[in-house]
Amino acid sequence: MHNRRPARMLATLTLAGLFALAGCGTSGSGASGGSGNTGGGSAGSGDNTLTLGVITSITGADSEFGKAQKEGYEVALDEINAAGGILGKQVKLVYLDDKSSAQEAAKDVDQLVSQYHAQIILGPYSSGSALAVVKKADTYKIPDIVPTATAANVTQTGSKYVFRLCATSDDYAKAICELLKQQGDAKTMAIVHEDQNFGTSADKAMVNYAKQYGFEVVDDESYSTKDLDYKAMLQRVKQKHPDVIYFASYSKDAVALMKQAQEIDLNAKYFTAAGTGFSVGTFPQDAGPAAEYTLAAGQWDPSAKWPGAKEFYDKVHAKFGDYPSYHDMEAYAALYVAKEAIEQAGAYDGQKIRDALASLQMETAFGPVHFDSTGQNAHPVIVTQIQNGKFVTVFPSDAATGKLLPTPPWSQRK
Amino acid sequence: MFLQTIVNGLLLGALYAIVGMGLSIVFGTMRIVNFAHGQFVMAGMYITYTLFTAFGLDPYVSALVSFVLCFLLGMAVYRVAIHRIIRGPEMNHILLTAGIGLMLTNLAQMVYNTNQLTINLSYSHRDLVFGGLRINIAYLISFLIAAVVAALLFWFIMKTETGRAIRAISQNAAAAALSGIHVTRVTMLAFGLGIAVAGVAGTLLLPIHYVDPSVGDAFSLLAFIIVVLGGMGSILGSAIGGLLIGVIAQLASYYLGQSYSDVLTYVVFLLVLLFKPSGLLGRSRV
Repeated sequence: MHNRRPARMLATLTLAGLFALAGCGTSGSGASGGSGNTGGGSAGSGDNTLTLGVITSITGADSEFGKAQKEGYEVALDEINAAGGILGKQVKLVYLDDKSSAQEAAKDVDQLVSQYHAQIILGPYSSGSALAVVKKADTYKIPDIVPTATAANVTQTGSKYVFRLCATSDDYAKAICELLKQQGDAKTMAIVHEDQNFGTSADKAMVNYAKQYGFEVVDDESYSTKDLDYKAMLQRVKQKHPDVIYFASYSKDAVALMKQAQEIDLNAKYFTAAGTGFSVGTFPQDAGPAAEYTLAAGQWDPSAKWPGAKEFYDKVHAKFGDYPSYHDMEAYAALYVAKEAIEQAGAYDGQKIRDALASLQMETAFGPVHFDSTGQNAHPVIVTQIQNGKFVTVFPSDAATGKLLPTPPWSQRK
Repeated sequence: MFLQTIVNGLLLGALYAIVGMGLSIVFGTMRIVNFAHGQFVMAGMYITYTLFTAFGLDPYVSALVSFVLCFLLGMAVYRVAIHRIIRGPEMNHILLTAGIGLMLTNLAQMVYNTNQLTINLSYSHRDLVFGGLRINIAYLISFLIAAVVAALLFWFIMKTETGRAIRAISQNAAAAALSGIHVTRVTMLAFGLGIAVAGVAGTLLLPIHYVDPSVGDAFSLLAFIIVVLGGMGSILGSAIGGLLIGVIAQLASYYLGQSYSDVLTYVVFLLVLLFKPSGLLGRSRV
């Protein structure tokens, strides 16, 4: 068997490569019933339950965020059912897993429509998946409530069926710039972002706002969350001596980036981030001391002034033992928004629910909700800092629960 | 900084090299197109993760456990599945091993879920400093273990009777059988050995990289590139190929940006194949 020519070998390898690509998308499970899903059937017709479809990342790279979202949905579901459900019907949620992939998320929309006759969709988690879901939901003419995806382009597809609860990557960049302007001692900035929809959108937003606020962007780096090592990239950043570093990262990469920044002694006056990996409840413990002093733009904190915020925090902690972040809260609020819209529509009907959403005006534990003509909710952004392993809100001043601490160089930390 | 980048590249490359060396025996020498190689690396990572979280066993100790378990797993997989199609066309190898890979991926997903798991070692982000050069301790230990494994493997293939038998089979299985070599047993042993080395690679990777069920695909591709780049059937070539890819990736990341490291790696790979189709240390086979 040894007399093979290289060309033949290469052909074999190419085939093998194709298999690798095909293999990527074939793992994983399908629908996972969150609370007694028994196959759904036609929702809202006759029987006394209403089945609503949720798409999130139960498995895959974004599973930490998917877990957080599921906790939020579950708490809202318990409350809503205890209070009599929606339109007098008990609610069931069916969770479809997008496996942290945009293609899967689009397929999930098909499944929700064909199998569960969905008239509204909640989710998904990531910006990449959200873009796919929004486009798909538009073809079915059913509304999609986007709880967490921040990339600007999610509401820019021209769809009339997208309703985004959270603030965008533009709002994150603006909040960080406002805070830096208030501090007054930063001039140069480096941006380090993951290379998918979320990261590139956050990057674009920050390049734009940094210019407006007069910060010089001295370095702009992109990476893949699959990379083994970020030290060479961080060395590039170190050479430019930026006052500020702005990260747009998911979970494991955020941890690795900060640990490796410490390892190579990369110092900055401000380590800032577009929320996400730097805001998730597990970040302070996973990154340990390397997480201290990092600033993250975020959407909500249990100290928020809206009624129900603290209660939600306690409920999630009691039920799941986790410390909820804004990802949990956005999912929680999304289900309440769906409830309100369906009840205002008076029927489980996609078009009527869409119209109700478009004119909706309600108070939630996440803050007031009202969607503009593009489907965007004007939600205020806060900035939190990790101090002694806890998230402390430091910006804006009317929401702050603590003072911003200056970031010491790594060599001067204990 | 140039020197530091080269050093980092060599340290990273040692990990690539050991991923490649396992496949070098299976694919380079025995000509079994093993598309589940990355999944066996993943298996080593999960074994190490489990031992660490359940018993607090240091990953560099569990390298030995990974080696033994993956060796047995590899031999079993060979005996049960691959042996049946070993004389068939390469397409069959691909289909079968890709299937085994999918099974392993989904098995991992059933047992461990798809979360990205990491272990926290006190020294995984600690550096030794030698006159301005920083060397990460976890990488250094991995480098040394990789070097020992490479040396042992080289010695085993080149100097022992079994190693000679493996080389004989790779040259001509029929003649090897005629001269009294138990072809099935030796092939099974070689396959087990390759998988064992993949398992060790997984162990060494875990302190610096997360493990999830899909992590294997990237390592399979990487391993094939390293084996072809180094030269089919040359274990030394795979070691050099791995180191070279590590250095190129780091140089590209530092001088051009992180997103160029894959681009430059493949450019160099194509250039090598263009000018030396048999790979760096490969014998010409045409």
